[in-house]
Amino acid sequence: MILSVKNLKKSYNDGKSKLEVLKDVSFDLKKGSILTIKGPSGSGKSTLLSLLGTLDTQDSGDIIINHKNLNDYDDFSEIRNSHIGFIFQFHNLISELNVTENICVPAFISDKEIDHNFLDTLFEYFQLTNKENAFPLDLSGGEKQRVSVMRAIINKPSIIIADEPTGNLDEKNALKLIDLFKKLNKDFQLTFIIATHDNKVFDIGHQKMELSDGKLLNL
Amino acid sequence: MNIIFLIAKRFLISRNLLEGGMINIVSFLGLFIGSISIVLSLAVLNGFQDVLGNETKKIYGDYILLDSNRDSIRNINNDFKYSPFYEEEFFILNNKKQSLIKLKTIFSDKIDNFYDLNRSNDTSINKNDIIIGNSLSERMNISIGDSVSIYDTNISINSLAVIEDQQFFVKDIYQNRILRSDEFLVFGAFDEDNLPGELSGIELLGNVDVLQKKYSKDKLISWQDRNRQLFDATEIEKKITFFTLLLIIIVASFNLSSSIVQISTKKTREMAILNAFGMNERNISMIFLVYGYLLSLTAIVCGILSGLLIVIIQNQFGFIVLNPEFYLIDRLPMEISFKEISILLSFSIIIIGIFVSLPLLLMRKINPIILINKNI
Repeated sequence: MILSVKNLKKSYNDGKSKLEVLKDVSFDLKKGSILTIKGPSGSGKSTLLSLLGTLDTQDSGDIIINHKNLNDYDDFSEIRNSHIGFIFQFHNLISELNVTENICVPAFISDKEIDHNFLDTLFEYFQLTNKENAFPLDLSGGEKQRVSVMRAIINKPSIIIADEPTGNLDEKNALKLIDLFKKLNKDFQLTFIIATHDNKVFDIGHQKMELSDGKLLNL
Repeated sequence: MNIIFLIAKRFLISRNLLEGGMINIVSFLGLFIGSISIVLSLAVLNGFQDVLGNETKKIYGDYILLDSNRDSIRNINNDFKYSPFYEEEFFILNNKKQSLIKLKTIFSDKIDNFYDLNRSNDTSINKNDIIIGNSLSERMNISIGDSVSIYDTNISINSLAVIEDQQFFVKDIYQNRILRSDEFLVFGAFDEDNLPGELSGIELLGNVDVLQKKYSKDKLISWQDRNRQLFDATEIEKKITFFTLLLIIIVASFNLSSSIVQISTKKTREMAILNAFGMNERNISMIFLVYGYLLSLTAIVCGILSGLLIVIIQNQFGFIVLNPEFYLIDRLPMEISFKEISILLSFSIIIIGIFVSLPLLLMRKINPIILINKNI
């Protein structure tokens, strides 16, 4: 298993009352599979992805990514950098950096040697050749989102976490992105966890789950 | 490429040039003006100190060798120039005007070989000839060729109840207003058949290291030691100028702090993205530290280089002129001291470090969930 989640609990306290967002969530995920999660707004999808992405910490339970139990770590920077790739609803590119630099941010952070062959392959794969030196402001919405996907996979992470990746795209670009996820999963054996409202995205999952009332249900 | 440096550089000079806006420009200008002011002010003070030294050496040499007598002269080799002298205070009298003078008696050949007196004539002097300063000649209406009386400050009276004096012939007038020498210093020549047993000293011109090897330090007095008060005053003036002008850099550094607060507030989303992709908070802070140093050191180095350029142009072309009647020289003197420039750079780096670090300490902890999930 590339990911194992056991008895995960998370609640928020506003000082007066305690809101339990995740109640005893458990699941396993195989390498190279796609997990799609849906649920109404406020159901805790983003909270679950934040916990899996080490951007937040759980109240209790275990998250084991690639045989590493997150409870054994205080600083998650290195885990985030090497094992997790993020795709956000908004592209969240750094406007001062050009396309290549944006893509290489995770590699720069880890001080890894850039694999230029892999980078060239990705540019061709994502049909962004000739955009290497362009800046985010010069790109269309779809191109920006593709750049953000390239950034998520440049370090060849164990898991790619995508939170509403098509939420900010028109239908045409959303469909393109869905195809891209499927292709990436097939060609590079990448593991995806995708939270979405979009049924077209939800349908690409090998494992499909719904988060409702703080519990994750297999569909 | 180092991502910290890359991002700091791009934040400073992005396609949206100088995104930091006015605060960045004000910080840059403040640091630029501060450093250029310090370089120029110190260059001018060094220049005047240099003029002071050169003019002083013209009439006093580099060093005095104390406890000298006729035997000391024989022990001096020709590695450096020297001039034995005997100095005593007298009164000079001319047309009922009198003045206290210091008569410095030297070997007549040293007048041209050792001293640089900027004389009216270049005639040699003999026993009973004197060379007086321009100011003394104007004050006492003495001209070249006049005969004047010189008598001891411990007045002695002869058997006829007349003050004993000696007549001297004014052979030349010199110009050197340094330390007001031309108001009181009068040069005379030894009677070589009747040299005094003890000398006031031997003035020396030459390589300091050679001199210090030959003579013990306590017997050598430099021109700076002889004019300690004046020399110390110029040094204090330099220090006060340096620290006063450093205030400009300190004030500009306040702007630098504001600049960093502003950019860190503007760039919280980018910081959250970097944090999400694995950059730790220490390295995120480093981006702003590098940003601050890039901005400020660019300004300071530009200021220093501009200052040096002005100094070189002034020394080459003398575009700032002075009235030699007042300042001894006809152009503003400027002298570069790389030691002082290094001190300026070091102080600036420390000050900037403090002012850049302060906002980083106060910076809010980055919360990527809030910043990214809320889609800021």
